[in-house]
Amino acid sequence: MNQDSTSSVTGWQLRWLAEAVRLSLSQAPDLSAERQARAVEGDAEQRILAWARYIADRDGLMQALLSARQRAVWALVLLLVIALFAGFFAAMAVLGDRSASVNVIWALGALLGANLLMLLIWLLSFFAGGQSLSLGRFWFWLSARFQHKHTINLARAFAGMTTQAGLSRWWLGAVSHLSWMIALLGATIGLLLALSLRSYAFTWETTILPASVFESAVQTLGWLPGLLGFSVPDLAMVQEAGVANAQTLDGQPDAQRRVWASWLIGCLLIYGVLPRFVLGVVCLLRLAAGLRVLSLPLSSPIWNLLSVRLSPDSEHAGITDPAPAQVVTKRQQITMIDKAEHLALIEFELGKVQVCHPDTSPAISDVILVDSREDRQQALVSLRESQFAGVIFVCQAAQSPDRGSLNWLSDAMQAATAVRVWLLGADKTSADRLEVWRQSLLELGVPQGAVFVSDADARAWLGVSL
Amino acid sequence: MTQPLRIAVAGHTNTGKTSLLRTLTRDTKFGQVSGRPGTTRHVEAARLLVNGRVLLELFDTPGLEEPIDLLALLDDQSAASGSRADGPARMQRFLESQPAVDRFEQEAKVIRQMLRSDAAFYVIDVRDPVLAKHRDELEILRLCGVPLLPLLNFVSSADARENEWREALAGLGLHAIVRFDTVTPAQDGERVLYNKLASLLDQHSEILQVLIASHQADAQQRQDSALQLVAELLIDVAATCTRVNAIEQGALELGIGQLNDLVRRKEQDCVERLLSLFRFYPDDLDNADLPLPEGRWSKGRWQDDLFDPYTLQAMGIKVGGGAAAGAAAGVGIDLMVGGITLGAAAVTGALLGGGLQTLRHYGSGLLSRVTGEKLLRVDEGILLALATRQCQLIRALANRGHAAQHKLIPVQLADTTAGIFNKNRLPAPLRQARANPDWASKDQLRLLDNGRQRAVKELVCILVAQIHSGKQDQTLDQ
Repeated sequence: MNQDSTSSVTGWQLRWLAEAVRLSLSQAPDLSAERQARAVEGDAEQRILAWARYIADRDGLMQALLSARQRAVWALVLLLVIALFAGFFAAMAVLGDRSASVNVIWALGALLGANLLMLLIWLLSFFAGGQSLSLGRFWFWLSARFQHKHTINLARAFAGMTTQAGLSRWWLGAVSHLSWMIALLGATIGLLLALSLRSYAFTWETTILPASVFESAVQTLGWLPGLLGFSVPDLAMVQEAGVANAQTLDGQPDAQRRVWASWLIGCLLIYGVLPRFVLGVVCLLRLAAGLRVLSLPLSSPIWNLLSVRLSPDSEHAGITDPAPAQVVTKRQQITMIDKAEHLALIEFELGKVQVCHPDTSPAISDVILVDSREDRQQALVSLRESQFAGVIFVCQAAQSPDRGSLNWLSDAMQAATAVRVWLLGADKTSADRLEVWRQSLLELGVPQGAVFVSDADARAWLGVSL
Repeated sequence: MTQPLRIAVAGHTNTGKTSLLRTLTRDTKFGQVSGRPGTTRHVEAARLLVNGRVLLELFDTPGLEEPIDLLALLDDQSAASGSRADGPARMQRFLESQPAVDRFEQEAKVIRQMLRSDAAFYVIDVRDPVLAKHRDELEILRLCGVPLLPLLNFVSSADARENEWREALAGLGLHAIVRFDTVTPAQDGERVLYNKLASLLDQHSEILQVLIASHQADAQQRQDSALQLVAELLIDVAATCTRVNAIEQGALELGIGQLNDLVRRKEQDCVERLLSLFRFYPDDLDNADLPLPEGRWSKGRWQDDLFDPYTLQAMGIKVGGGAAAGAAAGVGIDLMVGGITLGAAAVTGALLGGGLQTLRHYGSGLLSRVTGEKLLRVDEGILLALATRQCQLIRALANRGHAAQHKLIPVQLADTTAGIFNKNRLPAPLRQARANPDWASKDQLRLLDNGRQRAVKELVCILVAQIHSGKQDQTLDQ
């Protein structure tokens, strides 16, 4: 790839390229391009541009862009050449090929009329915001015609991007004004050529208007060109050129003819070429300013997904410290209590909840609350020392059993002769959580029948009334 | 601002540490989450970036499972050495001892990570009672000598014991506390969280402010994108119309069926884009195939499109023959509407019952009158329903934490009673779309003027106002 030419693709053209790449890609993300782009230092837009550049270089879209740019220029040149000739021949036609008198007002109207009408329509559509048929549109259509099927996305991208940024009216306008300016220049050249090589007499004609209208019209129109050095026919000259005085080709002095020719050319330049030139320059300046600050609309849904993928706000950094090996400890089977008699009731990590007092049931000989390290030690000591017929452990079903609690429960169960477990509030606990408890207790060696999963059952078995 | 900030996420087992990471990284696929204790047994890291630069590293640690025994061990080690070493030194001693590699291997991983971090979150499931083991746990973490920010998770649960926890934490000297529900985080929850963290980490607060600003900008951008997607969908659907031959048997049904499918596909497409915009996956939705609303709209009002002022405007230009026609067109329109109104009444009986009725519209264009074709359009009711549903989806997705395990349920149409627009009147941009069938195509070669784009922008503004004023966020999330 030619390094020089690709490096001329800068600024907005890179964004144009990005838009074209986006249009030419299918839905599936291009993983290798995204990887490349993520390695680029910079913000999301810079990464998207790098992404587009990578794909464009690979798929030949960059080359296509360069030639599309060229084709657009050629289309413009073609349009301008047509305009030049159109203007030229229009001027010829207006003056006529017969060497005779020229109706100046009529000629000026014919040369400027179409232009002024189109200018008016352009102004109206510009402020109304609607679309209109314009030479800019014709140029775009023409240059799109020149594209290959493969690169039509470039034209689409250009249209989409500039419309999105509100710039399409400026380039449409610029092309339009430029073409009209060239056409009017062509007309000026034609006029000059005809006036140089042929001999014309200048007249004006009327049926119903008073002569003063023409006098003031010629003076008024000529005022501005006059400031710039073009000659303006004086009142006498205008009167002489009137159809009443029936000038013939021979009758008009050469000096007067030159004044009229100068006036005609002056009006064409000042009222035809100059406004189009000024408007064209304004459009070009606005376009250039707009293109300079053009940025990809990253918050629009068309770019947002890609920009998030290329410049993620979070990433997975992997496991920094692997899990330890699972240790499975085999525990002895634990005996279940048969009869509710001479029991110790252990309230294990219940927080502020209190289930029973020793005197709430004749079956309960002692109630031990276990929470802290000291509680745990003390409870183990008293389980070993006093000979309870069995121990019932009350645990909160809603809490998840952790290894520390299960270890202590295991120790305490080993110290007891027989055991039952009451999962407090099991009725209101999710099935998942109960399953965790069931599994854990099974691993501790507690038989399934020894676990109460209903507060009512547990209370009934203990003979607690409440 | 060179080094990223390192934050450990610690806590008792099964309190939602991995969930917190999922929500903060907006990554539903981070780690493993389950209702079982001890699901995470390794240390796993995630990075938060702004413009490609890593600002924050978060470390998900295993839960502490034996705090009581571990603190006992630490006390024994101190007593045995007889020295008055400070916390981190005691922790270092523990890490070098034998129990750190066998019995307390999992806890050792947490402590090692704590010692390497600039600060730590202590995640609390406030539904749990405050127990001695929690106090011991906090004591152990405090000994690591790292600023600790308790984070109250599940605060929106019915059996939260927030006050109990606040008291206990105050008793341990921890006064800076943050509420953060990992499943349904409050709208500015993240900002509050990082601000609290910044107050603990004075010298790093600049990093956190950058992060906050960037996340806020991202959220705004996400919302803009989402609303634009919805606006485009609505403009698209509103502009869509097909012609069917009214004389041929079955052509009408076929046309309606095709239009139904088209609308359904477009909505499905929009939903998928919204999901990936908010970084969720299709399996986060209860029903991937969103059925179009039934019942309520199927007996919808019938209304001839030609009453619509925008259609009239567009027609006026056509009737009058070009922009120059001007005022004279007004008369022409009135006359024509009169004629059409009478004729159109005859079509009213042709409504189909049951099923998914996308369109109840026989907007009869002038051409259709002449050729005997009918112009099928998507009914206004359907447009309103689409708008309502998509906006509610956006709101639900914006408020959904990435730790959420439950599924989103598509809104039932009954909710549209508090609908998004005035039910009797479509907003102006949609009426404009009605009059511009070529807006349904997205061919940029044809759309050089930005009327469609302006309509989308206007509609986005209307949707923004709706989304912010809407008090009806009730229960999309169940």
